[in-house]
Amino acid sequence: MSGYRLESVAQTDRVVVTFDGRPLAARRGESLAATLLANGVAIAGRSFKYHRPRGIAGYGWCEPNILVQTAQGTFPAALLPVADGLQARSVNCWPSARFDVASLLGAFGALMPAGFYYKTFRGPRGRLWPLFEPAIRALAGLGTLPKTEKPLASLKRFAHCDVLVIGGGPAGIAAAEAASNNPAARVWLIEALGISVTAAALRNRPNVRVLHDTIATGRYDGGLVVALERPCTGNLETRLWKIRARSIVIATGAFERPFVFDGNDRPGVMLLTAVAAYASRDKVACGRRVVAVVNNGAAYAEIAVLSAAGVTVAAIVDLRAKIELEHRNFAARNGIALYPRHGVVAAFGVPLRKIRIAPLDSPANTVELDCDTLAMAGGLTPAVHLHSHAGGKLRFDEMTAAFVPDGLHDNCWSAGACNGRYEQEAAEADGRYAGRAASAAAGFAASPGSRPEAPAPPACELLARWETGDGTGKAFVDVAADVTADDIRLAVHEGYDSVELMKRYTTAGMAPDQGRFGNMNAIDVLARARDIAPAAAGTTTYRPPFAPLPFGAIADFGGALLKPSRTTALTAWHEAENAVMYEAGANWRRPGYYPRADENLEAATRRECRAVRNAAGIYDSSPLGKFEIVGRDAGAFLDFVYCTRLSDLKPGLGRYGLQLHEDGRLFDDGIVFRLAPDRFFVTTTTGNAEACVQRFTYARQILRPDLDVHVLPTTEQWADLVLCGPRARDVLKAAEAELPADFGFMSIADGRIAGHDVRVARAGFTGEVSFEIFAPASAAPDLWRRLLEAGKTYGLTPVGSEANHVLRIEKGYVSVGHDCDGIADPDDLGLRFAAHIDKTDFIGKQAVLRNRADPDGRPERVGLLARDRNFVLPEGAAILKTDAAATRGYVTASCWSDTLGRSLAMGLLEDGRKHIGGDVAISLPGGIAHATVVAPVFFDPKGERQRG
Amino acid sequence: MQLVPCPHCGPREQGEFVCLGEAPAHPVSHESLARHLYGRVNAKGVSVELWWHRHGCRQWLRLPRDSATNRFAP
Amino acid sequence: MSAYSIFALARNALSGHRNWPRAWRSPALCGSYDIAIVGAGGHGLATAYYLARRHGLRNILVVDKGWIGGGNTGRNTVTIRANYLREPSIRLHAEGLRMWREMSGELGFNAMFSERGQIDLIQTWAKLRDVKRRQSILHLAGVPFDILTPREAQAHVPILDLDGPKRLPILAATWHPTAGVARHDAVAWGYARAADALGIDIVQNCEVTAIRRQGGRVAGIETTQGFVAVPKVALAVSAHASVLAQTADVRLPIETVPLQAFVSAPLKPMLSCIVNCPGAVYLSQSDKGELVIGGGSDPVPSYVQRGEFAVLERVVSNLVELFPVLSRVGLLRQWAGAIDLCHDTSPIVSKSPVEGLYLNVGWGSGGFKAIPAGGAAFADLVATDAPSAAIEAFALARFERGRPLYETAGASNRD
Repeated sequence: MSGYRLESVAQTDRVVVTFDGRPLAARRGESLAATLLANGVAIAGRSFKYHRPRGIAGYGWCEPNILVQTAQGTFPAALLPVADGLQARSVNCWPSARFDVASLLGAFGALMPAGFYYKTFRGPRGRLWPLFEPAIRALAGLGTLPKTEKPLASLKRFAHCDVLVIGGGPAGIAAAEAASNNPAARVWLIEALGISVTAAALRNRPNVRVLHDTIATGRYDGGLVVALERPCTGNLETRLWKIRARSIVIATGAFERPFVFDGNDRPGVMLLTAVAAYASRDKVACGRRVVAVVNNGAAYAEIAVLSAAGVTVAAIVDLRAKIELEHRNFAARNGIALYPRHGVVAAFGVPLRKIRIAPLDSPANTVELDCDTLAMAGGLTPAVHLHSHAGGKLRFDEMTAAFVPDGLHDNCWSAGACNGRYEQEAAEADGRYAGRAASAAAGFAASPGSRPEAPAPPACELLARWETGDGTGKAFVDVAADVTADDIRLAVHEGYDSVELMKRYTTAGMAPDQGRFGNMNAIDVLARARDIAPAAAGTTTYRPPFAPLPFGAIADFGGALLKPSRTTALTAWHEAENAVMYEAGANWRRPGYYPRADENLEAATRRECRAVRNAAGIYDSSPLGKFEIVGRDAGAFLDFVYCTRLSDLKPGLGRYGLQLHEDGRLFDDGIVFRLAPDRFFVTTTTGNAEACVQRFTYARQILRPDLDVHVLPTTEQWADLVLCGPRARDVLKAAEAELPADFGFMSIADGRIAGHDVRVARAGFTGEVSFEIFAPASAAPDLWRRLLEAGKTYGLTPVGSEANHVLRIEKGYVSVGHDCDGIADPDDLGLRFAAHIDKTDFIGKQAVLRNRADPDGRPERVGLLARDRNFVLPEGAAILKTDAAATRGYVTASCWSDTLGRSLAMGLLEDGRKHIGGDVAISLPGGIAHATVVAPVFFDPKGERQRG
Repeated sequence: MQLVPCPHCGPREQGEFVCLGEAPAHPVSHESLARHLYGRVNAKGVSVELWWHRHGCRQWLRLPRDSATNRFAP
Repeated sequence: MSAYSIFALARNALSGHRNWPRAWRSPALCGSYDIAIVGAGGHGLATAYYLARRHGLRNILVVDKGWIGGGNTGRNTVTIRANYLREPSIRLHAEGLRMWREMSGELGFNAMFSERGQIDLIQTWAKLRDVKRRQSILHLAGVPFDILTPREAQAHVPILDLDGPKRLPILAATWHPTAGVARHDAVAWGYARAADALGIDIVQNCEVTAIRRQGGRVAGIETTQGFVAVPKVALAVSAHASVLAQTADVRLPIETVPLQAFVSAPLKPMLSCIVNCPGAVYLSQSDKGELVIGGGSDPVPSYVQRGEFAVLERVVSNLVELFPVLSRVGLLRQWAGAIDLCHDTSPIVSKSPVEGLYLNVGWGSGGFKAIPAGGAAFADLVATDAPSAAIEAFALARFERGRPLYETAGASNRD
């Protein structure tokens, strides 16, 4: 193969690129494939499995062979635009594409038929695969990770339009023109090629937008099309488009089909359309002596393009016996030898030197032809990918021997070559119809009339035969996956005889080109091996993406924007005070502890706990879920949603309430306050605040539409500062709090603190006198500072969730996130006091009744005191059954308690309450700890301190 | 991703919604409890599903949809 | 069954590979069998194989509406592990890991089981608590499972980025060295070939449309090729378990949802183990060099085996945040399987209320790894009518009693 330029490159367009270290003269903007061909680089890569030498065989998205590696990633050479200084390397070869050590594997090709992995590398007991695997892995793979400093961060664009036309060929342009005749219709056209091929007719239409160099990669349910703009620039210019259209016209054209014969993968064996396109578009001749092999009349137009461009076509091998007169005349006029009823038997040379042809009906009478390029034209295969992605059906069209779209799918019309209408006029007519129909479906045109009939093809248009080799040597059906016709026959022979089994056994169609080059021939070989029609063989499913999508283009922004974290009004203060921030659920971040100087977690936590028990503490509980439940039936509604009775609460008071799943498991807990007869203020856990919005609206709208009640989530409106500890009242006084005189435990009232209007509740989670101060988020920073100032003399200390964890374990309070597991219901968790089963109905009632009727073997919450009082049991540690082989529970929460001077723990234990007073063994890494089972309240069991 | 036909807001991206799937009734009797809680028709075809327009009108919708094609029934 | 080996390959190379025997027959459907297994995926084929091998039963039909291994067996991301939370699952999968190591030898077919180990990345304190709990239970069951620092994890996963900005810091990691991957199709083919050699009929492209009952027991199956009289019907299907069981008036606690998988363009080896960031993304590198990637299931029930783009975006966003070096690697293919999610994300391996109807369903995203152990235990159940200790906990009756087995270690968990 000895490619050359048909015209010299203008000085201003000359650039130099390097390929495998070798400088090549290039034309700015052409594809690297064109550069390689123009410089006579025949061997540009190695094949996937056998490491056979390969060259460029196709144009654009039809090129199956050559991937190259640049600093930006791995790209198809036929798509990679050339820029000055581009450095590219061949892949899957060492040391270079021309001399590849691994190509020695080719000598063992006979030992590597389809499925050979499954038959060997096992060893006598099937355990030797791990020995072979690393070597096999090292040989596979194409390309390595690009070593750039910056990851690809591409921008995403979203668009909505009325009609989306995919493909800027004749059918696509005709469709866009027809669809945009009504100036109100917003029409988008996306075109894979970088060069502008869009007709002038569209240019002046303000309602048409054209995206060049953009490849539609997938069609999804609901008219969503994903497309990649500038797929091979590998930098910020690459953009992912998500386009939603009312209707879609697919005009993605067709692929040319190769032939199957020995050596059909040799560098120099190409597709005719590719050879013609390099000549006409890039002014590059792929070789000095081209032979074309065709099985259809349409191919002669491409040969004419080649001749006109000045490329020497030495011969045409035509599989058909009856060749149209005009094509015979064309050959004669141009001095091209014509071999009717011949096929290619084999190709020779690396790069290609000659081919052997033979008459189809007397294969012994071979002829050899010298050539450096063989241009194959085996008919066209419609690009039905986008039609199929979202579930469009296909049918086999006998006339063109290809699968074509079967009818309309989801307001999506295929038109032109991808609908089997290959000739320009027919494609344009088809496109016009599809454009009108799409516009009409989007509401912008009258009925489009009927679809134009497919034009009758000329006699003997296509001879449906592709395998012309004599069955010896390697005849490839899928060059990208290195799968031969013999591989497919072997698969069928062994029973892998459906297209799906064959594909998986041979890997045909699974290489980076996803079968664009070889799938139809694979189906043809399979169908003939089984003696069935290709239509009966069917095709495998087309999956998105049509073209590789870089992960960086798919990804949304990472880092802090991946799941934006929620901040409370006090987050800035916490961070300024060097709080260690924890993820608190629902994307909130909360202070875990506030280390001073060189304090570690334990020391800080102890100090914070001591402050709460002995003086005063304050914590930011703002992420707590908050709701107002309002309406005449608000009480009845809460009685239904909660398993705790709440309708009898007096205004100004609150009660601890439980919500259950329908199957009885504890879903959430919190305190419900009644503000007025028709108004409740509800707090939920942080993690379930969002789920409660769903639950409350579901209960109101679906389960109890009879109730007059409204639900208003107010989590983010209220900041929640909890002041607690024996000196809490003193702090409030110093902060000039105005609260009702008679403000007992579980009361709620509006008041003022430090000049701010607040709502205060006598509730908390520490077991101390506690004031939960709800303030407008805007007032919270000032209020927080004023309280801290007021509390200075009383030892007021900010505390984090670590201290809270200890304080609530000391009190035996349940933390829904920590202590619930599996099927645990309120009884199991020791919360029976809050389950008012005598209520008429509530969510979970039937399940609780069922559980009470069948109480054995349930996980029950207990306290655990380690025998070694200084040993803190690890959270999560399993509690063992007597035989030590199985577990009967685990430690749900555990801590060191300074207040009690010992370690404390809680656990869920099978039939746990029956074991109170007994001992259990707890599994530790490398040993066992013993603990006594106790009731799970360790500190102030009567709750006198919080009431005080 | 389908566009969900919200009767209040018009067709909207599925990401705005929570799909609860087949709607389980609130069980009122002991006997049918297990079937209520766990049993699912899981129809292959059209069934009425519960959708919640979380990031929209916050209404719960009963929408017929075909699980064999993903399409909402007209 | 002729033995496969390097010598057989060499011998056949001399004859142009024209003399390999068929891997399995294409038998015609008979009018009656002793046992009919619905579903020629990994579970159905393994069940057939163990029924023949361990129980000496031969008159068995395996019937599938499509091709061998064409359902979720051939669609999944092949993670094989035992790091579950609930003891019954841990024990089943620990036994499974043992069987995976022996599989290629037992079946005479290279299933390419590759014990690579699995790293889980832990980003929240709640998950760290969960893995500490799992560690305690796993160690009791003899399953190696260790908690590592982020730097130790990076030694296993050099492409992991620890220094760039992360929404959630990597707090810790876990290492489960006995986890592995295998070639999914080969598992189905290996069991099919071995079952066929034991005389079992595998009939493809024949859809079971209904289970026919006679009173309280099974009479046979209706298929697209006619009625088959059979006293024992074993369901080993995904996606259609609910539909089929309901033809026998059995309602299951199952919802069918798509689970997507993604592969990248092939690259030279750069990831030697499985990496999982729970709820965000998991990946491994195949022998061909492709990265095989998954995340969670799609949010909407569907029988359609294709996925949403939004799920791909979510999973890939997580991927690129953890592994920015992969940002320039291309996605080659995305697809979906329709998985049967059981209410508690544990499977159902159980007798049913209908005598003669057996269930091996509801495996959610975790069925592939359970093929050998689940198939063997299901075979025991079908043959003896009594559940072995391995599967007692997976009985359908757990729902009647209101004691589901909630599992939090599946890829498809939704809360």
